[in-house]
Order: sequence, then C-alpha cells, then structure tokens
Amino acid sequence: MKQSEQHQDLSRRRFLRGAGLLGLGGAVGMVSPRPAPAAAAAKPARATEARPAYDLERFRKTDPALVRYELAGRFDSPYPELKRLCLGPDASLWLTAGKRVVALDLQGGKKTEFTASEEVRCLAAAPDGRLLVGLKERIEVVDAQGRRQARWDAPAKKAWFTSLAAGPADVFASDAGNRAVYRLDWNGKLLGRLGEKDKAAGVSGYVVPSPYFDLEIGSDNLLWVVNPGFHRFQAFTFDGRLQQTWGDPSFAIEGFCGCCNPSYFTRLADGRFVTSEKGLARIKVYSAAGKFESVVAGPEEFPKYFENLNATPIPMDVAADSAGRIYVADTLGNQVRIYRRKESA
Amino acid sequence: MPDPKPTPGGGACGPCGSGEAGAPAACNCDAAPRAADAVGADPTRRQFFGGAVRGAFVFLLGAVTSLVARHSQKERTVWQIDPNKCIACTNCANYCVLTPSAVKCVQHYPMCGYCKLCTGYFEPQPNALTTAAENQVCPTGAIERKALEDPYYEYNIKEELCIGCAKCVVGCVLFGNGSFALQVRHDRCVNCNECAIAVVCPADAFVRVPASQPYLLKNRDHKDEPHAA
Ligand code: SF4
Ligand code: SF4
Ligand code: SF4
Repeated sequence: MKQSEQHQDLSRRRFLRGAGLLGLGGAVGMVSPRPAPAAAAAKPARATEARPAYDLERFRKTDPALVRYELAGRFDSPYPELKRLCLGPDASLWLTAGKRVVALDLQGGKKTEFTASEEVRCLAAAPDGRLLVGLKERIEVVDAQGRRQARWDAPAKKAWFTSLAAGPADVFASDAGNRAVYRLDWNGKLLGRLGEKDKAAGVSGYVVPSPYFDLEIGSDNLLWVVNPGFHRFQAFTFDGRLQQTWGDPSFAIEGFCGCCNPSYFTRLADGRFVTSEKGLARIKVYSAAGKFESVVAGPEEFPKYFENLNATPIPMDVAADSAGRIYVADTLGNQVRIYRRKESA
Repeated sequence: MPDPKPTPGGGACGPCGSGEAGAPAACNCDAAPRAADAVGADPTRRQFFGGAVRGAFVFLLGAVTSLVARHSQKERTVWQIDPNKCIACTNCANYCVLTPSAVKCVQHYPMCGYCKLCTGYFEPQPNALTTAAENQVCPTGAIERKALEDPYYEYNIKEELCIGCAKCVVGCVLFGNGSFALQVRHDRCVNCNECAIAVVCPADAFVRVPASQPYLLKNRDHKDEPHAA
C-alpha cells in the first residue's frame, strides 16, 4: 500500500482505537514540560500563510436600533464563580457562587447566605419563599433563611441537574445527564417525566450536548423547556402534553446560535421571553409567541468573552422582576448587571 | 515437640503473648528468638550462606529496580498538543516542517456528536444545514459528517486533506463542547528535536508525552460536561 493511501480516511474510530486513548486528566502527570528552546531557536523566519479565519466579526456588533434596554446598575457578586440567579417573592435576589448561595436585596446588600455541600448548579424560588437548590445529583429544599428542610436524591443514576422550577404544588427539574425533565411534588415524589421521545405524539426528545437545559413555569400554566440541541422552546402541560414550540437555529439576531442555546431564559410578567446565549453572548427579548423583539445586551457588552478562546464560554443566567428589569449574571465579570427598558423604546 | 507453654518460673513470649511474664524463651512461635540468634553467638555455616544468599538477592533486586527505573525514565517521548491550552492560532498549519502539517484535527466523539448546527462543521450562518462545500467551515473539505440515528452525527477527519488550520476547533470551542481539537499525528510527525511549531506556539501548548501514550484528549473532568467521556 502506498503511504498516501495509508494515511487516507483515518476515521475517528480508527484513531481512537490506535491512539491508546488517553484522558487528559490521567495523562497530566506523565506530561513533561517542553524543553526550553535552544538559544538559536528564535521564531522561525517562515512567513505565516494566510488561512481563512473563523469569522464572527459581523455577529459581534449589534444594530443599535435593536437595543431597547440600557444598563441601570451593577454590583459585584460577594463571592467568585457567580453562576445562577433567581428572584424570590420578597424581592430577594438569590445568587449562587460555587457552593455558596446568597440572598441580596435589589441594591446588592446581603440579606442571608448559606453554603451547600457541593457546587450549586441551579436554584428556583417558590411562591411561598422556599428555595430549591440543585446540586449535581440532589435537590435540597431550604427555607428563606437558608435552613435545609428536605433533601431529595435524583430519580435516576448519572443525574446532572441543570434547572429547577417551583410552582405552588409542583416542582420541575431538568437533568442533562439523563436528558430528562422530572415532575415532582413537594415531598420529592416523582410524578412523571415530560418530553421523552414519542414519535407518534410528535415529541422529538431532548438533545442536550452540554449542561444547559433550562426550564420555567409560565403564567400560562405551561412548563417551558429549552430543547437546546434543537435551539427550540417546547411548552408542556404539567402532565406532559406538548402544546407549543418555537425557535430556530441561526447566527442572525432573530435566531439561536451555536450549540445549546438559549442556555438560559426567563419570562417577563407579560409573558415575553428573555433569552441568554453562549458563544455569542447576547441577551434578547422575544414576544410571548416567540417573535424576536429586541436586544437587551449584545456581544459587544461582554468583551471578556472573546479574550481567550479557551476560557470556556460560561453562559449568563437571567432573571426579571415585576417592573420588567432584567438581571444578568455576568459570569466572567463576576457581577450582576441590571438592565431596564429605555424610555424612548 | 516441646511443650511451648511456660516453663517453671513462668514467663510469656512477648511477640505471641503466650505464657507468663518473666519466663525464659520457651515459646515455639515464629516470633520467639532462637538461642542461635542471640547476640554474640557464632553463626553456623548454614546461617552464613543463608545470609550471603539473602544479601545477594537484595543486591540483585536493587540493581533490577534501578535498571527498570532508569529505563522508564528514559522512555522515548514525543511531541503533543495539550488541547486545553491550545488557542487555535493557526500556527500549527504554517510552521510544521512537513507540508501539510503533521498536526491534524481529531474529533472526540464521546464528548459530542449531537449538534445539528455543529459549529465545528458549519460556517457561521451557513446558507443551509447541508453538506454543500460553501456551508462547511473546513477550507479543505476534510471533515466528513454522517448522520447516525437521530440526533447523532459521526465525524470523520480525512487526514490527507486536513492542514491543521484549527478553524473547526475555533467554532467548536467557542460555541460547543470542544470535541474538535488539534493533535500531532504520530504516523506523520518526524519528532523533530525541536518542534518548529512548539517554538512559535503562543499558548505553550506543546508538551512532551511518553511515546507509549502519545495522545491527549479532553475528558469530562476538564470540560465538566455530562456526556463527555
Ligand atoms: S501553535 Fe499552539 S495555540 Fe496555535 S494552533 Fe498550534 S497548538 Fe494551538
Ligand atoms: S478546519 Fe482545518 S483543522 Fe479542521 S479539519 Fe479542516 S483543515 Fe483540519
Ligand atoms: S515535531 Fe516536527 S514534524 Fe512533528 S509537528 Fe513539530 S515540526 Fe511538525
């Protein structure tokens, strides 16, 4: 066989088989730092050939006419690793930062805090002030002072809780590990699973490439779930009947870009959607029917997201208060940014 | 067999605890010292040879251990890219002594293969999500995408076409799980003493790894992804 033929079509399978596949975690200890370059080894004089770049420039600038919100305030997270946020019924803004959960007033003053046993991945405030705290494989119920009242294990192995929604009688949890949405009661009893693949009913099943799989109960009494691999919202009755879908993949401002988008969303009091995307960090508003309406903040507001390719793009969670102000967890800036609708808008 | 129990006067074997305190060494347990082992006693011929054999064995064991250690220290190493450091700068395509570069894209399927709008495969805002050349991110058409059972896709990198430009890596890392990454392919790399790419790599991503385990693939511990291997 000629050498060139040998090199052809080395498929993924053959590569993985031949490679003696080595997880990087296990390999780190075996890696030697590269030898210091020889003194004479300055940069080779060879000219860099121009290669076509992955060009996102045109998507990083937002048409100013579409931006109908302005920054009304911001404050730093009291702890590093700001991740999730939600608003409680008593005008508390709950934040998670690593293992910590902190309640702030809407000016950023600390009201209460507690520390969970491991990294907090999601949270939701119930109408009665209780808080649901999602760890990787467990949900904890705490009171408004942060005292734990109950602890529920995941209904399935290899769970990876990504979002929670708390109604007066029902709790919903999304599990990226099992690509499942669970309906529970307030005793942690599993009442059902929603959105499983069902060809006859036209339900696609969830495609969840990474742990961004958000859900929220709407004022329409439907559970709205992002099916991130399809860049689509799906609305279910609490007993699991698919009622509505909307959303299209697109890098253009009207659509949802890249993979696993929208990563997070919230609803305004009038039913409109506020969405947050990763990759192109942008916060947008859609009508209750899913029609693109305006931009809250475009990628140019978050320049840190483009500084280092390998700073994993960490999506920004969003929440909205009854006055229509939008709270954004700027994860790389480690601050909460508050946007309000422009008066002229 | 003598009675191992206490001799008149009583006594106990310290190591095994039999007998009573104060007794002379009457216990036959293995832990009890024997008369010939007492300090100052003349070694017998058998003891002398036994000791010599034991010494030789210990010496040999030491020599073998040190040889093995030296051998493993000297295991051949090769160049590889730490995918968690690489910033996909395109130098890998341009500075390798080989043309095309010995650096190729690899797609680590256990991490991802789900995205319909795969940003490692499609241009940003493609005309359509089809395999038409103008929709593909790869300038050389080196990435083959095949739909498996819905919603999974399999990617096959045609290495003879891949120039290691990292364009697909940018798309995948920026938007997705980073399952596309660059690796030095050891069926091509000539393992230069000083890798020309390592010299210019802005991210210090080139490292030496043992030749027996020459690839560095991302895993879930790094990426914190539920489906990553
Ligand atoms: S030179 Fe370094 S940073 Fe650039 S593509 Fe190669 S490994 Fe990545
Ligand atoms: S985009 Fe560049 S690195 Fe990726 S497969 Fe094509 S040639 Fe290789
Ligand atoms: S060691 Fe030589 S052949 Fe291998 S990647 Fe570096 S420059 Fe290319």
